[in-house]
Amino acid sequence: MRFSFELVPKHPLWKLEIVGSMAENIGIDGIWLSEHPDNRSSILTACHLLKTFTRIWIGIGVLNPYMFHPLTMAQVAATLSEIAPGRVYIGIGAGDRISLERAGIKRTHPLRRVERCVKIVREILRRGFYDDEEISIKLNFRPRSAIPIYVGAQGRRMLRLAGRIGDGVLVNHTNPDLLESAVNEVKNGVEEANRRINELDLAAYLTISMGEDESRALKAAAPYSAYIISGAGEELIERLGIDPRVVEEVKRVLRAGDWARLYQILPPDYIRATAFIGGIDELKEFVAKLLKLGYTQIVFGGPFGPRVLKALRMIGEVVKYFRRI
Amino acid sequence: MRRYLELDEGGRRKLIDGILEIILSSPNADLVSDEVGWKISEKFRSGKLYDLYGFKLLLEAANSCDPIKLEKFLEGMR
Repeated sequence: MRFSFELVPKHPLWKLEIVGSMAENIGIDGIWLSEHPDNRSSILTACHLLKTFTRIWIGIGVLNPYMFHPLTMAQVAATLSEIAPGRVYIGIGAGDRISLERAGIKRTHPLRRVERCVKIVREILRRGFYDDEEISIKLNFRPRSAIPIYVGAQGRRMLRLAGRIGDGVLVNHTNPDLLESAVNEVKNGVEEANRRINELDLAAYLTISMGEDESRALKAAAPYSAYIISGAGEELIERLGIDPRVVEEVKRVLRAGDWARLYQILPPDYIRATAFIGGIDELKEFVAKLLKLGYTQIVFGGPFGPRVLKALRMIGEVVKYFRRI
Repeated sequence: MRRYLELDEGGRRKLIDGILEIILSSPNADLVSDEVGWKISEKFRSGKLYDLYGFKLLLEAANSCDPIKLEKFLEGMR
């Protein structure tokens, strides 16, 4: 069982450094840095944090093959391994459709693109080169350690693909029902590839908002839920039990950046459907359930809570509890 | 705010968590100068936020990113 944080490089590097330091102090194993084209570079942030810390590992999660060529991903991962051998992970996924469209990129054939990308990156990292009928590429240096490749997944087919090809899977859900069905999809993929489930690290990539005051925890999670809902496909919206009319309204509000209106239109139940809201005991119960389902890594992702320092310490209590049992 | 710089170490220690909370929870951390931010991180990591210089940096950072919250917090602690 491993515990990690998701940090979003929308914050200044010094602030990420403070949270990273807290992570080390409370027994967190690693940090996943999310990649968004409008935030600070997750790659350069990883470089800084790997130089700063000596124990925790850093994962870049996730890079998508539309904005990053597989050779670039392999080059980045191999270079980072020179700074911190054995402490570098790479996440590959289809990327956020809306963000890509804003950059003028159509997210075509995501399954095929991710599968090919993982194959190429893995080959380059293992053998130093990749050759097929379309491309012939190589690195002039070797990675200093093995670099596990995680596949970021949310939809059924991507989860299955992740089970087939990933060294790990970043399951991008917080809803308990979806996390449960995701395990089954990953297992299907594992079976298709004649692998065993314990060959891969199954990570629940959670949106967490902890606090003693539930209304404030809900408010802190609302923008995160809004982004999850606005980026979700029709199938996911249906499975979450969310009214499609609310989705359209949320998209409009996000475009306008009208946060006050967001709190009015987003019902608490919809926030709870996409984010964990609660205190230490509730989080212990939730984590225990996930471990029972077969998850081997718990990623605690933002907003953490309305009071970040307090929330991080609460998460620390939960981590300590599971380290003891 | 100058009067808070006259607090002794015990007094400063009582306020540190609350001020750090304001900084970490603020969406306006980009308003803090990078120079101050890096120094705070250095002090935090060496466990010396409570010294006079560390405390001064914290006050400056919180005042940059969330002055109203800082004022309310300090008033509440008096």
